[in-house]
Amino acid sequence: MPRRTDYRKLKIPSNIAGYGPTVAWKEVDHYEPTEFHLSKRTQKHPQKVASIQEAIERSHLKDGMRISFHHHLRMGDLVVAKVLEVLTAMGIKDLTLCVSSVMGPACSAVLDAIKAKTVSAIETTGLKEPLSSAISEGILDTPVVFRSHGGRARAIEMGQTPIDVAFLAASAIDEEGNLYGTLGKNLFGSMGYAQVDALHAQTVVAITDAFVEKTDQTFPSISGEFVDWIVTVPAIGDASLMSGGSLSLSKSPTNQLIASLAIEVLVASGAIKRGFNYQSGSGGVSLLVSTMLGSYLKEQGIAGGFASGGITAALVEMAQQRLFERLWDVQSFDAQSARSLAINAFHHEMDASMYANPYHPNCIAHQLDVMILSATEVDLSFNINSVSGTNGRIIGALGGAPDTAWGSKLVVVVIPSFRNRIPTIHPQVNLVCTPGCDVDVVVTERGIAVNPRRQDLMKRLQDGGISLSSIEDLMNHTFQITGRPNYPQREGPIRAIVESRDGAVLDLLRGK
Amino acid sequence: MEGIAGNKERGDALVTVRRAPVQSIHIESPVSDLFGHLHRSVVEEVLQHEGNETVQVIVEDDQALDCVIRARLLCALARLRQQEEAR
Amino acid sequence: MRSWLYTPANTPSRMINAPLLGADGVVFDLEDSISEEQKDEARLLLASMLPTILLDTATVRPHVQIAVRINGLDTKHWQDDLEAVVTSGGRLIRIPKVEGPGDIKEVDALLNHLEKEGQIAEGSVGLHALLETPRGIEAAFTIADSSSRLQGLGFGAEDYCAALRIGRATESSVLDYPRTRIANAAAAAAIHAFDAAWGFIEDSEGLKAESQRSRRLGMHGKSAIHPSQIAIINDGFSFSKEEITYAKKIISAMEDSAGVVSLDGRMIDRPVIAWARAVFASIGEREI
Repeated sequence: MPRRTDYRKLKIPSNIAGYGPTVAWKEVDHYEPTEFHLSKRTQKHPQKVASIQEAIERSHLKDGMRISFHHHLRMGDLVVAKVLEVLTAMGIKDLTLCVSSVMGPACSAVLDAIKAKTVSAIETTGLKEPLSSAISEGILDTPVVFRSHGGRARAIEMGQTPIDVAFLAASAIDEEGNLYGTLGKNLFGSMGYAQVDALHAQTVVAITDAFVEKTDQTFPSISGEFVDWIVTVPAIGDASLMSGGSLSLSKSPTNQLIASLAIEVLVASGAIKRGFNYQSGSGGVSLLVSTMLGSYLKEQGIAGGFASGGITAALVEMAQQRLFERLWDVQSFDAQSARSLAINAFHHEMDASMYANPYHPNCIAHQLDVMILSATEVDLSFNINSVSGTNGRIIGALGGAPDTAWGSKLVVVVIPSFRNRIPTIHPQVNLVCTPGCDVDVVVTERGIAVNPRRQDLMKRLQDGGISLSSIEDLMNHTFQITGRPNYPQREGPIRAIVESRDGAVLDLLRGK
Repeated sequence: MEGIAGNKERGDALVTVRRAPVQSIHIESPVSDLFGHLHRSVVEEVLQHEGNETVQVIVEDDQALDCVIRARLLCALARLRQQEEAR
Repeated sequence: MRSWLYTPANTPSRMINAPLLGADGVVFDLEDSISEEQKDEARLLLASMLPTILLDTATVRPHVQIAVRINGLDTKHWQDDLEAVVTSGGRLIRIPKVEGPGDIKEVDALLNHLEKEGQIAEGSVGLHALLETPRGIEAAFTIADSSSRLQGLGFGAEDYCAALRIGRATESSVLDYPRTRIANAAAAAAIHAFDAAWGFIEDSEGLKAESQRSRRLGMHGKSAIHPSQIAIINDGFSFSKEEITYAKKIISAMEDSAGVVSLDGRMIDRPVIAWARAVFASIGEREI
């Protein structure tokens, strides 16, 4: 069976048109901290302007520049569409879109902007329909660059992707021009992804639908000293649509089974002890694991250190019950989390750089003891795909998975062994998003496999009464049920590049 | 007259068979790129086993396993025969 | 065998994962949950899926038993059901509405024929008999004793309650009699006794109460109609921690002594030792 253990076998051109020179990925043991996360901005004096158009004019935005948005409003975002509309109307062309992610209404807005030639390049952690099909079919002349949250922060701070104008939605702004995500009618919580942009973009345009007075009860996410122009719109979004978009608690009995098996693995591994640091992704099974973990911690009287990443109401409740001492929030997934950030002392905002930039001296991802991840596919070398499906279609995102997988002491992937008819374990994933050297355990409803690199963990789990299978056996057993798929060969033009955290090229997504 | 079996639901397939001058197989599936080769061979194998009926077979698949497609096709054929016998 | 999950033989995506959901057994249903017009479709679907399901279960949940509830002997379907299930590898059949040993003999005869034809070892297909009517309940022991194929005797409450004109959710002791009679008949024939399904999916408290009651009356397990009921039923019919600890003590006391077994200064009778062994056997079955 062919194995993807040697990445040098992946033929990466030394230069990719529209991207530049490439560095082939290799395993890294250590990242030496730098000070790139520190802002070099001098104090700005934010000014209100009458319209988005005026803000764009005053920013001196020209063809070919790089603009950015955050995705904190998720499925309820109205700002991205509005700004892109104005840019198109103004005839500005060839912009590089550098976003923390594209989801919900922003996807069709970006697609329209591409068709109008306003946007000609995209840098993101993920994207969805109808944009994903268009990308796969080659609507862009240059490949999309997928970076993780940490990789994006690093690229911005190190000047690899300098942002000319950042358009940052804020749920409220005060008289000093400070930006809030926790006040106003469409509050969304943490501005973690936006903070990196604000500190490092040449020009920052803040967009809001609410003004508040600064008091000592309020904590702005971004200081007015980083803001150039302030625009008022009737509504930045619909916060009631904020949830959704990969976030919903699964009721399926199979998913509940996988989650409870994952808890058994965590317990047997010895990772759940006083002060342990925890994060889970936003997939249905991952969220179930968090909920079940809460019950376990309560029963056993164990309190963890911090929980981090995308914060949910479930995690807030756990922190309220003192099951975690602290929450590090880069993205608030629901209204309860957003409100909690504003009022709870244990709930802290973290910017994307502190969260996941490998060179950040206090990188939170590097302090994790347990990380729960989902995936579209896993392969025999434990590589994870979280961006494309088995048929090569773009369906997901990198998120912070590559960052937390590298950083966390124990990394557990929770997936069903097949979804409908499509198996999840393959000889090779069709896109490597998180390399197998960073993945420890795969938990499915039909078996649990440990990466052979972790003999220590294997023994601990077996001693703890967990039956293990080899990843090959899991794959073959699944093929007995689903049949063995015919893997589509993709040798066409490069549609997307997966960059690793440190800027090397991990994999390429090719069209037909 | 047609024999129909199955459902247009995730994990299932709706199979319709009709008498035709020549045998024809038409399969619609969201996973044809991955499993089209197996879809084809399951249908052909069943038709051969059942005596190479001259039927038009239409499979509207939504990610059904091979054994499910086989069952739905066998049932559709049986239902078609039943109707023909009833005449 | 504490719990049996009923799964209608009409939804492939549910059928394929039913054995994984924590029940000690799965009963694929061709009877009450399948409409008359869909009987042929369900039979063919089950027969086609069974080999895959049986192989999958044997690999990932070897202790889980797979059974099929066929249509009643008063229908035109049961012989086709039996043939389809046995030829596709099914080895445990649940017969609804059994009224007397004659019903079992009829099934037994067809099974003998199918086993011979299929070159399967004689007697390898086992049976459950569901007693759902007053007549069936009266004949409990003769039914239980009528064939070595019988592995379990079950209570079907819906029809029984209708016959006695009482509500299914009754708290009266009316259902104690059929349960006790079945439990006794099963014990006399050394087979399992299992209780009726609880149809009120939202009412977990009712399910818990009924499970506890039927266990106290001597039944070993119960059928579930929804995955959410499995954990409650398993709990209701599991031996408690105290019982397991006590059983362990008895077994070690046995291992330590040559002749008479004593524990805490008291002699332990043979029946108690047998009980302790049964506790161990039931736990052992489920150790994954």
